[in-house]
Amino acid sequence: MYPFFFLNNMAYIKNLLICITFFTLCACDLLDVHPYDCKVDGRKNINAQNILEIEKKCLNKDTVRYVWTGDFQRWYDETNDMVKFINKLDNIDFVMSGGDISDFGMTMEFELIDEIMKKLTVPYVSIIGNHDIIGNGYQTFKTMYGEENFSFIAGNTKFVCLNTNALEFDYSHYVPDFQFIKTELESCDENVKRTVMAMHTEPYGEQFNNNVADVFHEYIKTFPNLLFCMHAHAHTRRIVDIFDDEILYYCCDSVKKRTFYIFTITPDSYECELIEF
Amino acid sequence: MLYRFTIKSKEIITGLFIFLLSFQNVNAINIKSNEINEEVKDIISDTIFYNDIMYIKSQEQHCQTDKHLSRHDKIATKYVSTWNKLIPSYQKIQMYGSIGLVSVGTGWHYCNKKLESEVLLGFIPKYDDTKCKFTLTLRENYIPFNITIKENVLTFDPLIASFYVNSLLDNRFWKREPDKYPDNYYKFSTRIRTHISLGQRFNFDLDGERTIHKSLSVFYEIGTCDLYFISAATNKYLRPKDYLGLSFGLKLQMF
Repeated sequence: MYPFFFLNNMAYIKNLLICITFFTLCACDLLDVHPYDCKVDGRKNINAQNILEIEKKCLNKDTVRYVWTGDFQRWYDETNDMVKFINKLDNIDFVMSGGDISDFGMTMEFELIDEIMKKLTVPYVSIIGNHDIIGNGYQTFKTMYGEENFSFIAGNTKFVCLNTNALEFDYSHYVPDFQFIKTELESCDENVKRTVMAMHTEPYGEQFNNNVADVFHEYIKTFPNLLFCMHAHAHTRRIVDIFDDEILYYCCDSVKKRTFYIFTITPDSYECELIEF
Repeated sequence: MLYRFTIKSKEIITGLFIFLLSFQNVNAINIKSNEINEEVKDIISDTIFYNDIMYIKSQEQHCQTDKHLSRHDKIATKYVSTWNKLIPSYQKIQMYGSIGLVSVGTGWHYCNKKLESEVLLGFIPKYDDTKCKFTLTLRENYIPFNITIKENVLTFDPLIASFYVNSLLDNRFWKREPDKYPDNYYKFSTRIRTHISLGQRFNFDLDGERTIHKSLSVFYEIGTCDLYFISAATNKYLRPKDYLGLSFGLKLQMF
């Protein structure tokens, strides 16, 4: 038993056991199957859970105040600072992310961002961005956040969140999904006083299906009292009236630029503030 | 239906190729002992028999038997011995390490066992994806030191530095971004990952009579891949467990 001579000494055995236990505990976190393994250990179906929370929280409220941010891709330090900053703010009902949670579509990136974002004291929802689709990111997004198109009602305002990253899919996958928009239109009842559209890419962006950009805009205008549209993707804030019809498209900065928008929707109008952190 | 197999022909061919590489050396040594005279029996360990003709690997022993062989046999001997150098010298099984849950493969050592090249086929279970995936890894190891703890029992390699390239065998992942994207849109490949790792290894000598392998090695290593490294380098938030990966496994040495 020459190679195991140290086993004769009790102190060695004790140290060895401590080392093995410590090593095993560390090792459990270190075991990585593949960057694109789609092995989600954290939360699943985040959007659906948080929408329930948002709808409950904003029920019968006539004013909603929420954060619009996006493009976290690989800026974890800035995202962490933003979460700490938002937690100090008052009267925020919820946070909406404009997509691009990950940069490379890796499973680890989705989990890290949720780990940071779940420290928020308010619920958050996320839209799918083009970087969340590459590789098998689409599957990871669907597992962690749920459906790519979804909607919810906060107060009297309907938020319709759409996947507009048409460049990532082929013709067999409907982007934007007019069938979904039609269903949402039909389901609007008298409780819905206003509508806000949220998407990752704006019409006439390089990701958008620009063949239907005009049709898309005309169609979404049929929602009850469409206030404005919000998008991300450009990484630079801008407010553009793309179709010259006073429906503004608000684009937020990426998290790297340390700003975000706070929208306050009141019964008569809405307000947009730029916040730096 | 966790392990729903949707294997494509490419994966089958790759798998068969690695399987054949791993086991052809076992079949190559087909000894017909009754045809060998006493003198030759001494050099049996380095001898390979093929179609009743004896081919000897080392040059020195090659000369001893030269006079018994015809011209054809001499050329054939050289031909076979050249190709014999391509027989893999070990098989390997690895768990984790960012190249798959389980990877099996085979490899060659050279430069006085200081360098190793290997090819591994990895398997990623379905998990939350739509299908399971396979990966192919080409790998180069550098082993600068070897410490003998006990002669003919145990040796220790205190450092194994590795560089490896991993390819995902799945058509959702591209090597170069498709033409539909504007130029330099994503600037990286989702299919090809490059990794580096550092590890250690214990080599146990096996008795050659009862086992087909000469030695068994137990190794572990810690490594990272290019995209993890970029994420870690540009952020303070990431902890080592986010960007480092542990892997461990067994290596079975044939020669």
